[in-house]
Amino acid sequence: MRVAPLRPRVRFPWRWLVDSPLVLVTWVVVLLAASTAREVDQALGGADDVRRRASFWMAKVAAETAAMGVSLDDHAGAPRCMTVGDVAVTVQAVGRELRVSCVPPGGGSWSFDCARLPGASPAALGVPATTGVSLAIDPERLAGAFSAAELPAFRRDAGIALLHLDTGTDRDDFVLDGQHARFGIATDLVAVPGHLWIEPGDEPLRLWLERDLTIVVHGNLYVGRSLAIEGTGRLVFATMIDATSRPFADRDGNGRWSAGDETRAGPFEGACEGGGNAYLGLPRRRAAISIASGLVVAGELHLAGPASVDGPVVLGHAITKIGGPGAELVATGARLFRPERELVPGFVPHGPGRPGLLRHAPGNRPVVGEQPLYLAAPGR
Amino acid sequence: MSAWLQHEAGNVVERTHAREQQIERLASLMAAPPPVAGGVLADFDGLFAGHRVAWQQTATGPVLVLRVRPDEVPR
Repeated sequence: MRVAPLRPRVRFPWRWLVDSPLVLVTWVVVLLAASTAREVDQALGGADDVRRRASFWMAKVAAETAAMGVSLDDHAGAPRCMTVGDVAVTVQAVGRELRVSCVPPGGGSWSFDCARLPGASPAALGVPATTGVSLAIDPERLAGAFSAAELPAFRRDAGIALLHLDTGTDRDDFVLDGQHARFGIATDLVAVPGHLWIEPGDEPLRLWLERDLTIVVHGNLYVGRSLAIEGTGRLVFATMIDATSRPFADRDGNGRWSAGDETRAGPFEGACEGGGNAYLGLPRRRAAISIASGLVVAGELHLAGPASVDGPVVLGHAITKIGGPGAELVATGARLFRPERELVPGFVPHGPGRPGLLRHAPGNRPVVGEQPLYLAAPGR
Repeated sequence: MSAWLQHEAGNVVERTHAREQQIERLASLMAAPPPVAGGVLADFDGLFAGHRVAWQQTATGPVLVLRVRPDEVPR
């Protein structure tokens, strides 16, 4: 039998911590002080964050003022320094862009870039719905635009019109293909030399846009299902009236010029299905349509069911309901443009040149405050 | 002392919240300015030390501009 060795037992008498009122008061004071310090720290941290954000917005307002004051004809590229309020601002032309660097008085520096625009876009692209307005497409830009015939996102389909209209169409038909519907940074204007179809389906057609895109349709636009946009770009469909076709109000919804229909641009002639019209919902499939794009219709807009449009809706003429009383249009205005500061691809700009919207450029170092250590002196 | 510190911290939080609201309003005004505007925007008093924000009508529409407050002592 072994005897356990004796070891001293270390015991902490916890009662010491609360045994005396003085110790208790000390604990309370410590806890209160810690709580107060935490509150003060949080308050000061929040205030510091707001001060930094206020400095950013101060710089942005100053940059806006400076950019609006710079002549856009100046292509020299030499930086120009000025003071807006107490903010030191430097504006420099870099290619087709302006770079604005700001140093607010509280410290920190912020840089912004903006495009130099030749004018404003049509004002109708900044409001949810406008009727009785026809917007001009820039013919030079349109001549240099991508053709739907050469892009994988579109396919020519000779049979789609017969699937959805009794007599088909006279002109070429193109289908916006959901499997390849991805538009890169180089594509901002596409011309469709015929009609454009979005096939019916249960799921919305999803397009990926890296920048704003305008699809100009030389014929009619037939939208059979909803459309969703992914990416940072916005989309506008624009139908045009050309010499080969005429727009009309398709009262009976059969998709072709027939008795009872009303012409919208002189006597009817050309392709039997007309041109410049748009159909939200197809005559044989009157589903609810929701599209995340804008709609500029030179001819008549036909509604086969309830429809909502997120972008601007600009109608040259009127709306014809071919789907009964439930066919109503809702222009949500969720994806509008800032026409006075943004150039919508393909549309003719107007008014004086101006800077575009400022974009924060965190990587650009401001040149404000950089001074030579020694003044330049002529060599002897 | 602790109560005073807490009171001051509450004041800072209150002012910070007010400034945050001003910043949000300024951001929304810069994103979508009204078609016509004019005058000094009193809403932003105190947001930018020694400065005030005002509308200026230009050929391209109203623009928010930054100005030194006239009552500010020149440095």
